[in-house]
Amino acid sequence: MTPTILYLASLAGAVGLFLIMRPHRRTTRLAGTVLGAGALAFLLVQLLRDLADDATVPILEVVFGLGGIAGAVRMVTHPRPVFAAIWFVVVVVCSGGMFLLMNAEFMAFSLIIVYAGAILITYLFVLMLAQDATSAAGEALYDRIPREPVAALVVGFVLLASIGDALLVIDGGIKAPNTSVVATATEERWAILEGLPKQLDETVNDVLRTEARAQGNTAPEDVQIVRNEAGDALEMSKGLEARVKVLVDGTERTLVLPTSAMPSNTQQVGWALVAVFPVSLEVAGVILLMAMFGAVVLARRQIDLGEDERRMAAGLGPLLEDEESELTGGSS
Amino acid sequence: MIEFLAQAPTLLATAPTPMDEGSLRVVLLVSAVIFAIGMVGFLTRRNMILMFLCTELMFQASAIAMIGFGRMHLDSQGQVFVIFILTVAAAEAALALGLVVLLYRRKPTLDAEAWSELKEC
Repeated sequence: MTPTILYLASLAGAVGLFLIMRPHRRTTRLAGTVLGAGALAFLLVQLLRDLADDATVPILEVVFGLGGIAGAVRMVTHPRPVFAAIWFVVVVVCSGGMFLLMNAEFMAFSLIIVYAGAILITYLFVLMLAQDATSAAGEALYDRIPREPVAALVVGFVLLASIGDALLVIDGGIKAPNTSVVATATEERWAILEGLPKQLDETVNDVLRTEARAQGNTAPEDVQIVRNEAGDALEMSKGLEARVKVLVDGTERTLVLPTSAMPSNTQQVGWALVAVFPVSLEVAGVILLMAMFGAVVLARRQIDLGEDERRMAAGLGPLLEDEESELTGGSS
Repeated sequence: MIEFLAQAPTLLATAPTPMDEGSLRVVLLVSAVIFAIGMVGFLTRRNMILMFLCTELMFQASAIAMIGFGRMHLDSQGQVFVIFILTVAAAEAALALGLVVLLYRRKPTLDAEAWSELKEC
């Protein structure tokens, strides 16, 4: 993809987003939607055209990505805050789908539970608590008119052009690494099993049991895993098979563990959390605790309004019109 | 359905496979676009709560990029970082909404322009 294509598509997207924004008429907004969607589709086609001929088109990624972008646009331009928050849920669900496609099951579900379930509900509570009930149909004027849209779009889409440049254009874009990464990743994945002795035991017993059942024997009773001096039980072969030496009824054998016994992605994340980043995990807990304290302290603070100010806020006039000093309040 | 559920443990235990080039590009493009839209939203919305919601949109975009890069390197650190992003987002939501409620009590509007005197220019 050449830089010119990226810049032109960014420009078209910026113009499209400008036309979608509120003070324009309905037909103009429709034209803006068409222009923005066209720019995005053009960019996607250009991006996927450079691929090798035998490469598959990632249809599901494209579907979730377009859904997420549509939700984001609608959220940014919707005149009613509650609906904007609900469109954000669409973005969260779509990116959860993308996470699932990228083998991040745990993150996909925790994103939906924590973001859509907890954070968004908090936002909705505060929105409903603080909404202007006075304006018609729940649309406050300040929600309908964007603030300095042209300047914001220039900033936003210069940002998009530069990020896109760094990610997708310079040196032909970021390349997916070759298969050598797979070898190290497989070894690392098996190494997690070393830290989970119970699962290793069960895996070895499983292998022996299926083997015995295939031969019509009963499963061996006395099984011991042989460890080397460092306490490691697993050995990696060149073909990326994990082997374990076991003592079955006194005779030593080498078992090849099946691929299905490999620790899952979720186990890998959990292992990284507790074994690689334990301090960060603790700090995250402290941050959450401090945020809770901060929220309680902030929300508990009472603002002392004088009696007249309170009457003003309720839409009533001051009680004593000639004494200005009463308006400053706090005297009673 | 039952067969699918019986398969689930083996589905989750997929061995590492290299990432498809096309899906990596799509994911990176989507995260860049959502980030830019979140930026535009932060600058154009006047509603204080929605401004914070637009920062959540930018968090979301960076999380997509993190997971994408983690998948590309077949490494779990991207996902671990997203957990910390979630933590910061939750803390930010609690504090920001507390602040907004405080400001709303002082001036009964959510318009950020109501506080433009804090700019001092």
